[in-house]
Amino acid sequence: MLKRQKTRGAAIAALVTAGLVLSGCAADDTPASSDAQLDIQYFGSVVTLDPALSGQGPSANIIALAYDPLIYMTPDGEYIPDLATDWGYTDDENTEFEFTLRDGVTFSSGAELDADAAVASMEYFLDSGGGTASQVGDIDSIEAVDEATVRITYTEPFPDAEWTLSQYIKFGSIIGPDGLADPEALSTEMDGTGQYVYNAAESVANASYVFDRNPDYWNADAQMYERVTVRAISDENAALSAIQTGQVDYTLGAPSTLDAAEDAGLEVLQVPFFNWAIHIADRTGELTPALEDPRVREAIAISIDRQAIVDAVSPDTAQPSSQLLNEGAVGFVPGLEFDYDPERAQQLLADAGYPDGFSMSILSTNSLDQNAIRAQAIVSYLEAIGIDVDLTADATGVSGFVEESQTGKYSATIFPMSGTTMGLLYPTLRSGPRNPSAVLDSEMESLFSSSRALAAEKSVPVYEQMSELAFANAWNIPIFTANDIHYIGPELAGVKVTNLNPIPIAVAPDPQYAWHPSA
Amino acid sequence: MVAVLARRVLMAIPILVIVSVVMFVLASIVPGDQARTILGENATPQAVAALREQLGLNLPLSQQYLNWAWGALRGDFGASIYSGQSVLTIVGARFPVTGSLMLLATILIAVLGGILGMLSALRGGWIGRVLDAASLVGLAVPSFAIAILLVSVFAVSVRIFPATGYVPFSDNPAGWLWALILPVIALSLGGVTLVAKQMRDSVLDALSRDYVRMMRANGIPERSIIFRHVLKNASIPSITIVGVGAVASLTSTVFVENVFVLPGLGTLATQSTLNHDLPVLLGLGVFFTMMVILINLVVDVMYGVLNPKVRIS
Repeated sequence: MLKRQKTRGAAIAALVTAGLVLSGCAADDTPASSDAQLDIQYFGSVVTLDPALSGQGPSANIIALAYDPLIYMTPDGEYIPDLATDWGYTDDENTEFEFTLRDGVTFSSGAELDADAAVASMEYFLDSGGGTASQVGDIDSIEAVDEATVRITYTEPFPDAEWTLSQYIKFGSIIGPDGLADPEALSTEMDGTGQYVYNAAESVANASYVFDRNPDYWNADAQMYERVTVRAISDENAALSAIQTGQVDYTLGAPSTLDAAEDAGLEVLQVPFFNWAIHIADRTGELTPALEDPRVREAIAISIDRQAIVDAVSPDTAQPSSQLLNEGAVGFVPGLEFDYDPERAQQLLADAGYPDGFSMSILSTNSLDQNAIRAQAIVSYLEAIGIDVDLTADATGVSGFVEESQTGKYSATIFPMSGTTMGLLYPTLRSGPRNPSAVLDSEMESLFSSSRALAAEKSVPVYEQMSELAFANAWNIPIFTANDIHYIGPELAGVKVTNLNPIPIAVAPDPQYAWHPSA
Repeated sequence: MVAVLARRVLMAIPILVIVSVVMFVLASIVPGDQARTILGENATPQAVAALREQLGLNLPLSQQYLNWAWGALRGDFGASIYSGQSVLTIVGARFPVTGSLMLLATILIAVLGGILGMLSALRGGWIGRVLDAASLVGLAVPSFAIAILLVSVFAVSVRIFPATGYVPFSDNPAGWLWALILPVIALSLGGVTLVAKQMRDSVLDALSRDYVRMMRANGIPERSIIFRHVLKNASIPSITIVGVGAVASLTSTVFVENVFVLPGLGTLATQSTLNHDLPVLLGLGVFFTMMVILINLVVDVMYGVLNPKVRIS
């Protein structure tokens, strides 16, 4: 029998309690569905309509309109049934995961959802090698146990199956067999079981995406709108104008437009998201031998006046941070903070044999940090304790930055991190721009691997140990957390963001979580 | 005239080849990798390498260019590495927006610029001084700054025009015009003042010529002198300026479309640059070049119509 762990998400949500829910909306204002229309802004350019290739982040808001995930993650970070009605690991090692499919669900092409369709879609996801395919664990096999049951077998313990099958990673956003028959067409057409059907005729790629209500959706109660339009608006001033004049009901906000949005009477939600940090790249001390000494890294960590940077760069939309995880995330340890102490920092440098400081190179990116303002603010504190920094701000986009970080020319990088649990965050710190040399701390690795086979509630203490160890090692030195900002127009209600689920999406299989017209 | 046109069209071929080669080389030396862009920062090096192979990014640059050019010759400009749509489809879907903007802006530049210039030359005085001041502002303030100002005043504060968006002409002609008024004003302000200044100077110059004095002495009505002779001669240099204005509005659309979130070629150019979407960028480069050649051709034809000497040479 399955050892059901459907309460995993609930357990996590319950473990992390106070101060999480940052939304001001009440729970009881859910109206019945109507003939209303919803217009939402999408920031950035849309990658593709193919769930397997669409990457992570806000593209979920487009994909989820037409593709139901197997498991839905609520704004509180809880996992609830969507296409899968029941699920769990069948062993104690987190290597075998089974789920049961909902009965009577059809794709927009008319085909019926069954285990074979789900397996084919998930295998397509793995084969396509999209941006999130590396995050779903090492999978040995996916098989249909019977008509309604699917089993995923992992080669190593993998505790985050629910997360990967939710709307964000899209491994569980099931594509219909007719869509899969022509994978190339999936980038411009959609074949899902979702609440809305993509209207290709009225959409313009990278400008506006139109979705009509799906008359065959399995839960009509959760469909709040007749039509949903997603408009790509990347200019923050244009986004503000659009929501101020009622052209859209929801937009992503920005620090520069926050005051104007509040003055205009828009509802503003904020939730910590990007945790900006210095990542020591030269872990073996090839370029900068000083960085191998933990006293030097601690000196760097305490040389920075985090509050002053926050006050200067983003006073209303950021807060100082000293840990890998944001406050409220699973594995965060209250009270673990670097205190600003430049004198002690200089003492530490002297103890380590660098009384006159040393020089190092740092790579940052202009794509997420315009004009490298954050990076420059951080670097100025290093220079104050005698560390001479050669700062390079890459201006060629995130992919250019990632490539450049791998060249071995830089002692450190300045780049944000994000993750709602240590289990989800840590893998992103093992290589890439946050650890280009991919040199790993053995103690950290053993803690991480021991967490993999544990049930959710049992992994929390291990995650906290990882937070403490990361704090002591200071290979990644957090500086401040910038909030994601959301503006909600007067016609819209039900938008909610929390530390455990910072990305709001419009649709939900349960009406209580769906965005809906305000009463 | 036909020979002139034929020569121009033939000259367009090497220009297109040079532009596409330059764009290809420039785009390929920009750091960042299409495969990495598509797969995201967490992609494994193996996945990136496999996709590079699949996209043909490992081929020599010259081979990549020839592959592209051979396709382009047959009308296949490739597909966006992002949306997967063919470049022709994307450009075709977005051209009506930019085309509408440019058409309306050029008409406004020519008509309003011409009228203001004439008025200033004939009535002189304060109109001339205002025009001088306005042309300084029109030239100094970039069109996107004017665009932001127009949005905040006429769309957000006083809600007369929509702040963002485009309405296709076929859906609703009035809505189409309404959505384009602010962007067109932002696009054409600089051009209007330039044309007006040029027009004023040319009209004043023409009025001081001997043939005007002769006609006046012969008792030909002033109205006829101005509209049948002066205006025609004075228009010739202004047409060059209108042409320059039309080309300039093509580049300005990049900014103005972003401010008004119009799904045109300008926003497409910005997005595909940020995305390293090479096929789209190349397609746009070729298209923009053809537009510039076409505008110049139209200017030449109008020159010929107005000035017989050009027709003979």
